Amino acid sequence: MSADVALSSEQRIGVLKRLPLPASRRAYAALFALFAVSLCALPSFVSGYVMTLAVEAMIAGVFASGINLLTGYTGLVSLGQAMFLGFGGYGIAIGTALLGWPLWISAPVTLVVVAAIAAPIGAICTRTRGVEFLLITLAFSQMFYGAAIKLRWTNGSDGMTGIPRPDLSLLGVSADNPTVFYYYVLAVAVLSLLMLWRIVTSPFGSVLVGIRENERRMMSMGYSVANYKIGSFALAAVICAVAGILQSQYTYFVNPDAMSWQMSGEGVLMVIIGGANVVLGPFVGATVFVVVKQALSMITEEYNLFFGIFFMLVVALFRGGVLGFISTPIGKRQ
Amino acid sequence: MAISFKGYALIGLTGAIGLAASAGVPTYAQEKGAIKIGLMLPYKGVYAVPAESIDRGFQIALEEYGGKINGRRIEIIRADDELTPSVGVQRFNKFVQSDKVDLVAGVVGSNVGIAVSELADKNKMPMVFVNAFADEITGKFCSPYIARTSFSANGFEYASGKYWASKGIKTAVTMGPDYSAGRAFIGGFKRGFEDNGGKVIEEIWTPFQKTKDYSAALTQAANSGAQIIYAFYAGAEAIQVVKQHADFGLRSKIPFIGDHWVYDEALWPALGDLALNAQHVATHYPGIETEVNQKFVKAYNAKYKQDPDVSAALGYDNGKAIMLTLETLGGEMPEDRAKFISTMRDLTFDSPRGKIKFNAQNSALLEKVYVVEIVKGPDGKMQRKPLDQFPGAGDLPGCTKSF
Repeated sequence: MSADVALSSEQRIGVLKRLPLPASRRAYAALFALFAVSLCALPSFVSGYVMTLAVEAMIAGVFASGINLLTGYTGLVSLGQAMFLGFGGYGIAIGTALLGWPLWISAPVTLVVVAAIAAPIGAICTRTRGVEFLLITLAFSQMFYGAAIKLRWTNGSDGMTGIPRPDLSLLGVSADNPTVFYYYVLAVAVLSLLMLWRIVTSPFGSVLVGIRENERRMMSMGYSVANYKIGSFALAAVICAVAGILQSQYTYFVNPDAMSWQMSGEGVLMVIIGGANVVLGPFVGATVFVVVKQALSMITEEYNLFFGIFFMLVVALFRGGVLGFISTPIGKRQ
Repeated sequence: MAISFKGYALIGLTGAIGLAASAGVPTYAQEKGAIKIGLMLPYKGVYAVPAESIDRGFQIALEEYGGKINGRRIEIIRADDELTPSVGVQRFNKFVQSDKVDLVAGVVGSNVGIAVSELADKNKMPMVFVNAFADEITGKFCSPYIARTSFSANGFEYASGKYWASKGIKTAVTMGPDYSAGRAFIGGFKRGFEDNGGKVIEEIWTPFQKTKDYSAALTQAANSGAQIIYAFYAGAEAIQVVKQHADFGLRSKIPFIGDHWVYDEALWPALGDLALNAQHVATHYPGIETEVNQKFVKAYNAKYKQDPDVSAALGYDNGKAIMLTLETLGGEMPEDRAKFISTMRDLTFDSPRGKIKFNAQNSALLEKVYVVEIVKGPDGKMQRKPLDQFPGAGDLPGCTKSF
């Protein structure tokens, strides 16, 4: 899996050459506009269930975007990002149910706490790279997964239920309504995307890409590579926690499954399917992931088998993921 | 120019993906007239065997009514919750939003039950649990939209603990899978056992769905010095743990006492002689000599060429309660769907296991629990010999809502 993510350096430079900054900006501006219009209009012309799938895809997209910051941009493949997904869900569950805080306090506090926890974890994990990084992030997430199963005051493996959705009564609507919740998730997803886009186009983001491309050179240029990596790790964790909050609000429920390594693996799959190191890649990947899985599960009970085949086809045929594939001029495709 | 071309190519493809997304999901045509029941069971995995039996029992109940209530056809839409809360939530949403079911039935795992109970409450969708024995389901998570046609873990196991304590067993070691139902069952046994003079020396928890090796747990149990092992396991896990208990030569050292799930007849072919002479508690077995049960066993045999196991009986009760409720309501789902559940709560009916009544939290109660021994019958096949029976216990308190 890691071999698929880690494109060769020629390919990476190829991606950079193909998408010079102003060009990608204009393309993205157009894309965002189209996305915004079609997504805003979606509820008016599809059935409730397609909207539910769209909500799932967007939440998965935010999660995969967090992974992409670490994997696609900084070049660190993690198998532990689901722990932050779980932290997000458990954070607001603990805040609202156990501490009795309102949601608008619980949610930001959760994100701050996640950043505070992620920084030291990142400091330890980013001392390693490659397979070691993958395994140490996996180890951390399994540790918290185990703790979540055993902890009695968060109901152990039963998880916590009754997680509140935002109170939108000021706007005269209820977030329990699927359409309203759809717009809420859409808003949060767009905000997360804009924030990510801002990060990766900032000097900070350039340094992250520099670390991915040639860590030694960045070091010799005087950048504190270790701190940048930790920063990237913590930011990625916060974005995953945002997805965790949305996920738990969507199901009104959080349990240790949210932190399982399978969840981390699915996130990495979405990044690979959509195309790493493209801001929109994870969203495309998440959409493909959710839709294909759903369609397959309607056809056959053994959908996981066919999904595996589908994933292999994507990796074999679409180098650089779906977005990487379509942004490559036809003549240059392998 | 090339730049904008690329941009448009991207836009085009994104649009195509969007279209594919909406095309990939067929929307089901509304079938007018049919009452749709979403049946959610873990058809694959460790509980595949009980799930299949529940489905069969459910169908027997529907067939008693010719699959119709008041001329309206009953349509079952099945979904596999994979015994995983997140999958259960997705399937439940699909039932509500895509299949537009009138009510949801089934659900074996309490973990899934807890996850979907909140959704049922928020969506005002009647959820009639077939198993989901954890006391919290109709306790802490109770809702006017939730009912359970089986019984609570406490109702069954408290009574069982009390029974074994009264039979001269002073010490026990418990074994169970570490998840909500396991904790609820073993917890119920422990309360009943200790309230009546017994002592649980040690509680051993094994990871749920994640292990096939019970050697460490069994060794620990054997060394505890207790008189019996009292266990709750089901499906594939039950087969493994009973086999390993025998493999380690513990059968003569410390008996492995369980319930009708550990010694489920669906597992007899796999257990072979290991099931023979095992004593266990049961809420239902095919030999119960009541008219309702004999009719059920006959119908089941006619259709599936075998005796129903306890899960089949539970599936039958689930289907029967739903059909009786629909019949009372004249085949119409009331506008206020909580009325469906409250109608069910007021039912009293004879089921294969005995009389079924519901308590104020919509949880069915156990009229009696049977103690049986598995013996070889005159035809050489294994069957159950009744030894004793005792009444079921009440539910644990915990529901703070009133409805």
